[in-house]
Amino acid sequence: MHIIAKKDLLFEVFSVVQRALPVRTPMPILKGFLLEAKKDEFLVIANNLELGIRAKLDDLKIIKTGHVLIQEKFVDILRQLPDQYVEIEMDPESLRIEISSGKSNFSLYGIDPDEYPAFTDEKKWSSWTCLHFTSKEFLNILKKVTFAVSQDESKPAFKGILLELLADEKILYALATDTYRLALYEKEYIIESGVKPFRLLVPGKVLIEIAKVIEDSGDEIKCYFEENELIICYKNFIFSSRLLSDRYPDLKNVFPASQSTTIWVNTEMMIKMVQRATLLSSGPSQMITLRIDDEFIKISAASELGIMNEELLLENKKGENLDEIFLNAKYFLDFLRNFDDDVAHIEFNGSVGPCIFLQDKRKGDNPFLYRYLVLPIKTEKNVL
Amino acid sequence: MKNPRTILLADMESFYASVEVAGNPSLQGKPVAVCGDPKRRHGIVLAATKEAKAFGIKTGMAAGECARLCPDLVFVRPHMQEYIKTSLALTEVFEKFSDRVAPYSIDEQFLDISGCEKLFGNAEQTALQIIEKIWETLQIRCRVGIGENPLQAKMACDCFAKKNERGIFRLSHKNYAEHTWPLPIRKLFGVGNRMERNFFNIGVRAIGDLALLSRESLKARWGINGEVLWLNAHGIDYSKINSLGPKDQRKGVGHSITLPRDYRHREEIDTVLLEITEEVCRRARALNKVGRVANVYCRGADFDLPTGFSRQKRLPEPTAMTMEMYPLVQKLFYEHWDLRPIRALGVSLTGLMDFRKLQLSLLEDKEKKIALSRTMDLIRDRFGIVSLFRLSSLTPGGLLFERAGKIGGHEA
Repeated sequence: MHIIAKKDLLFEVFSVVQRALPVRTPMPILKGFLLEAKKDEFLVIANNLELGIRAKLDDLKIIKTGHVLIQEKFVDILRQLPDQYVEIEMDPESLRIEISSGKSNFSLYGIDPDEYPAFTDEKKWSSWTCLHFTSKEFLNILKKVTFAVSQDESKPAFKGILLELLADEKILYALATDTYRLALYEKEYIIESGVKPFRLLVPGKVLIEIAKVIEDSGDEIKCYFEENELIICYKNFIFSSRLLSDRYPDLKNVFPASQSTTIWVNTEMMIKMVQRATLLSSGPSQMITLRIDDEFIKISAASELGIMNEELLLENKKGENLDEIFLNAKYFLDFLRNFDDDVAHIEFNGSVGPCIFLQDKRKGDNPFLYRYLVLPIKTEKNVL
Repeated sequence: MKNPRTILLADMESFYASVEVAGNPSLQGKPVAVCGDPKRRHGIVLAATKEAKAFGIKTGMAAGECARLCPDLVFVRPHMQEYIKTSLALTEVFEKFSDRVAPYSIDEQFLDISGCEKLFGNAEQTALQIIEKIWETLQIRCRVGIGENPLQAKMACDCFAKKNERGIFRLSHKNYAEHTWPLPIRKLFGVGNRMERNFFNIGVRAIGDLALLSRESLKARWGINGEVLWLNAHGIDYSKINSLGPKDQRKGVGHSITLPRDYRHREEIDTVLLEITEEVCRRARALNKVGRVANVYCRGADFDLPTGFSRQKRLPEPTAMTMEMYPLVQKLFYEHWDLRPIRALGVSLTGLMDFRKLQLSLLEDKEKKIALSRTMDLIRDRFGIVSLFRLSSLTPGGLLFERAGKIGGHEA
C-alpha cells in the first residue's frame, strides 16, 4: 500500500472514524484503524462491534494498493504533521508503515488485518429496507430523544432508542427513556414502497456518536436495516450499528389524557431560572421545587449551602394552582435545551403525577408532535 | 483568641475482660482471657486481664499458645451484647460530666470539658472523679488522657496514662514536645507498620525527628497524610468533639464474615454474598439511609500466599434495597475473584445519605418494594433474624442460622 493524500482531508476522515474505536476491549485488534487502498478509492474503518464506521476517500493519489491495520496513535501523529501532504507507504513483508510529511518521518509497526471483523458488504445491505431523510431531519430526530436514554448497565433495553413505524399511521416514532423520564418524537412519514412497519432498538451510544458527526444540512441520509443490523449512509461515511434484541415495552401511551394544570412560559427565561436553581439544588437528584399560582411559576432549591427562590410570570395558565412538585432539574433542562419554541407548554398532574412538556406542530408544514414526560420525586412531605 | 479547650480521652483497661470479671466476682484477681471457641478459627484472645498479661498473654494470640504460657488461664467466651450495653452505660456516666461526649471505639470516649471547671474543678480533678464514678458504677478501671485537643488527649492516654499508677496524664502545647518527642515514632497517633517503615527509611526514629522535618517536605512526600502526621508530631489537631459524634456522620455500613471453612463454589459464595448484602442493607434501612457505592471485599484462604481484593462501584442510583445492590455486588465479586478458595467475604454500602426523596419510575413500583423491605425488617426485629429468611440460606453455603445470635462474629 502506498498513497499520498492531503493531510486535512485525511484527518477529517480519521476524526470521524475514530468515534468507533472501542474504549476498552478484550480484542486488541480492534484498537486500530483498518486502511484499505483499492484501485480508485481509499477506505478507513474502525469497529467496536456495536458501532462500525467506514469512510471513503477518493481525492488522493493511490500509487500501490493493499491493506493494513494501523495503530490508534496514528490520529495524533496525523494531527501534528508539518506539511499539508502526507505520504503513507507500507511494506507488505514487514508490515512496517512509513509516514512522511515535509521533513518529518514516522515508522509505525502495522498489524496483519486478517482477523479484523469484516464490514458488512454493500451488496448485502443494498437490498434491505431503506428509509430516506435529509441530514437536517435525521439530526433533529436524534437530538429530540437521545438525551433521555439510560446509561444504566443493569437496564440493557433502555440503553437503546426505539425507532418505530406503525402500519396505518404514517408516523415515525422515536422514543427514549431511562424509566424516570421519557422523550417521544412523532413525525409524519411518507411510506415509500417496500417499507413495511418496523420496530428497531438502536444502541443510544451509537446514535449519540452519529449525531455528533452529521450536519444540520440538506445532505441525504439513507438508513438500511434488517433484523439485527442498521446501516446509515451519509456523505462518504457508512455507519453500521448492531440492533438490540432486548424486549422493549410499549410506552407510547404513558402520556395521561388529562391534566390538572397547564402553563405557558418563556422558554429562555425558564432555562435561565432553572440553571440558577441548580447552583443550589441538592444531591445527585438535583432536586428543585416548583409552585404555580395564578400568575407565577415559583422555583426554589436548597442544599447545605443555603436556599434560593425565584419566580417567573406565566404567559398563560389553565386549570388549578399547583401546591408543590419536586423535580430533578437536569431532566427539566435536558428538554428545554432541545426545544426550539419561544414559549414552552408544560402540563402538570398534581404533585406526584407526571409532568409533561409538549410541542404540538401537527398542523405546521413540517408536522410533528414532540412530548416529554418527567416523573417527579417523592419526599417525606408527600408521604414517602 | 479563645481560651484553650480541655479534652479528655477515657480508655477502659482490658475492656471485655473487665466486663467479664465485673459480672463474675469469682474471677477477681485471676488471669482471665476472653476468647472465641478454641476449636474454631475465632479462637483468638480478644482481651486479657492484667493478671493474664503478666504471663505474656496478648490480644490476638491463639488459644493454644495461651494455655502453654499460662496453664491456669481462665478462658471466657465473649458476650458482645454485654459489652455494647456496658459501652452505652459508660456514655451515660460521661454525659453526667459534659454534654459533648463522642464515643471513639467500644472502650474509648472523648469528652470536651472546657468551661466545666466551676462544676468539677480542674482537668485532673475532673478526670479523677470520672475514674471513681466509672469504678463505682461498672467496676471497670478507666484511664484518662488530658489535652487541649483530641489528639493530645489520645496521646496522653495511650503513651502515659495507661502506664502510670494514677491513670491520668496531661499534655498541652507547652509540654507536648518535652514528653512525646523522645518516644519512638510508632507511638505517634496515625503511624502504623507501613508508615513506621517509611519513616525508618528516611532516618526518622523518634517523634521528635519527624517534628523537626519541614511540613512541606512531608506534604510533598505523602500528601495530606504526611502533613497530618507532622501536625500530630506537633500536637496540633483542629477537630472538635461535637464533630466526632458517629450518629449522623456515618459514611457507610459494612459487614464481613470469616467463613467457617474455605468456600470455593459459586453457589456457596452467592449465598453468603446475598446474606451479607441483606444484612448491610437492613442496617442502612434501620438508619433510614441510602448508599451510592457498593464495595466488595474478599480474602483468599492460603496464608502463605495472601490474595484478595477490595473493589467498589457506584450504584445506578442511591439505594438500600437488597435486590438492587446484590447484582452489583455479584458483578464486582466475579469480575475480580481469582477462583482460589475464599476465607473471608465482606460487603459494604458507602456514600450514605438520608433517605428523604425517591425519584419515581415508569416501570417499577419502588414504593411498594420499599414497603415490603420495611415490613420484613419489622418482622425480623420483632421475631428474630431467622423468622423470615431467603430460601438460599438453607443451602449448604448459608451462614444465617449459624450467625444468628452473634455480634461482630462473637457470641452475643
